[in-house]
Amino acid sequence: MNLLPDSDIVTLLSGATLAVKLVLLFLACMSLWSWTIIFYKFLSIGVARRKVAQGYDAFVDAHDLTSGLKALGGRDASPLARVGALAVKEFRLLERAEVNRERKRMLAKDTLRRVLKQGISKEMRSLTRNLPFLATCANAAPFIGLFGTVWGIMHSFHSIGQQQSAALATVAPGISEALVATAIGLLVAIPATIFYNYFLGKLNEVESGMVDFAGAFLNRAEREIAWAEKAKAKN
Amino acid sequence: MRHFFGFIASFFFHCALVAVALFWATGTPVRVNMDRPVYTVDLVSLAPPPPPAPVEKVPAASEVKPVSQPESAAPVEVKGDPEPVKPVVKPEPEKKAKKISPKKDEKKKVVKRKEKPKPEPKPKPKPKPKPKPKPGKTEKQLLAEGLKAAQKKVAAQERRQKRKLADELAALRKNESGVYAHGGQQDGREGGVQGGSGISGSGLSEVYALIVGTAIKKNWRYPSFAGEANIVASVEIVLASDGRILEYKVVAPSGNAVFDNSALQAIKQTEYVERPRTERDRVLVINFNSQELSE
Repeated sequence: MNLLPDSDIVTLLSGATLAVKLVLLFLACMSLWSWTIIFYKFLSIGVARRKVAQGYDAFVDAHDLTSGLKALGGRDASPLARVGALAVKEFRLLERAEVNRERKRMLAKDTLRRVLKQGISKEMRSLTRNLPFLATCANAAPFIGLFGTVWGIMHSFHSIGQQQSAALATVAPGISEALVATAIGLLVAIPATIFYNYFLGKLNEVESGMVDFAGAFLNRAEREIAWAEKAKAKN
Repeated sequence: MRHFFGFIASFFFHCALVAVALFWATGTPVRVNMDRPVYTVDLVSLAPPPPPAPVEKVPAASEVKPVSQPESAAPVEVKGDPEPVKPVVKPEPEKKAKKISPKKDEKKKVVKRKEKPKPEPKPKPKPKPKPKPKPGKTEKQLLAEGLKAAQKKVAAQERRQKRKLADELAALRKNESGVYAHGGQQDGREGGVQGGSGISGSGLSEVYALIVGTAIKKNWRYPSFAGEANIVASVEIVLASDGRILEYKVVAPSGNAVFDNSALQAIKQTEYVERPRTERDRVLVINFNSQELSE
């Protein structure tokens, strides 16, 4: 362990030109924010995935629609509960609507499908929010680092011109600045890329879980509603 | 809430990363210090180190100014040399040789050399010095006489030895033909000469000459297609103590006036070179070789 303050990185950073320092600062902010998103998404997507899987099983195992919805828990408990609640709310609205009963039956299927779709996309939207920033980091950070590189090398050549010497000592500081900028750019981009892809995979899982749930919900609703309608009709 | 947690986690993650970068990654022991001066070693033109104490020079007349001399690295080096032989020369050393230990002798020689760039070997002084020391012992005549005789003997021996050495040195020098050992080859490179004929010499002076030559040649422009011709011009320059080039003249024209002028032009444009460390370094001879252009 070398605790001396003249460590390479400090020396490099203090010797860097303003442009390179700004680039590095910018990259540091990007890194901070992208890791914020990574930690946050890691939690939220993981939780959502688990709840979707559990909720789907519970819903399928339930006897009927109502108990299935109850098994999903409260509104805040699971994304599936929110989707189911939306659908139930829409169904209640449809029930109260001043429409002919036959027509209602026809409408119910399409309406429920649309509502479930909207619910899913709403959930997905909230889960994917901020992910584009990761994608941006993954793509832009290397280029921003590259900008620092180019700037550092420009600076080196400038030094060569000024000092009329191509000695390694003249060129080296600029080149090391440049390399640091590139390295940090990659350091930002690599985790962003990896986690962006990881999250995309997980989100696909979540989405397909929710689509499964929507299918199951729709099936069950059609069955039970048809029965209800018929019962109502009989009455 | 989760967002906040994510931010905190990210913040600590970065702190940890920076800490690792600062304290752990720097543990590598091997570091290159870019501030150090760069030494250029020219393997081809660098002659073997010159004889430690060059020598000949100055007559006894110039006394000792060891004290006044600004200490330069060169003299020290020479002193340090364990050379038994004072390569060169002759006279002066003898004068004081008897009284003084060999070390001092060397010192004096060196000093003198610096002051007077004139390479005139004078054997004369020898005889004089001897007598001086002796007179002091007049009180005991007998003893003095005996001593004198013994001293004479010793002196004669020394003289013989020195002459022998001087001859050898002269022979060697002939080969080198008077240019600084460092780029001393006639065909090339820069070399400093004292007063023209003496070899002088420590490695540091050579390096200084090399530095000055390199600085001047940066400004040297001459069509490089002339490189095949292999023509050489030697230019003597006189430097001020601050490194300004005071005078310059062609001492060995190449025969090609344009070539000579290009060399003079380069010196004129240079104006300042690195400050000479010693008086001796103030007169240098730079060889301009057309071969260098094609390198």
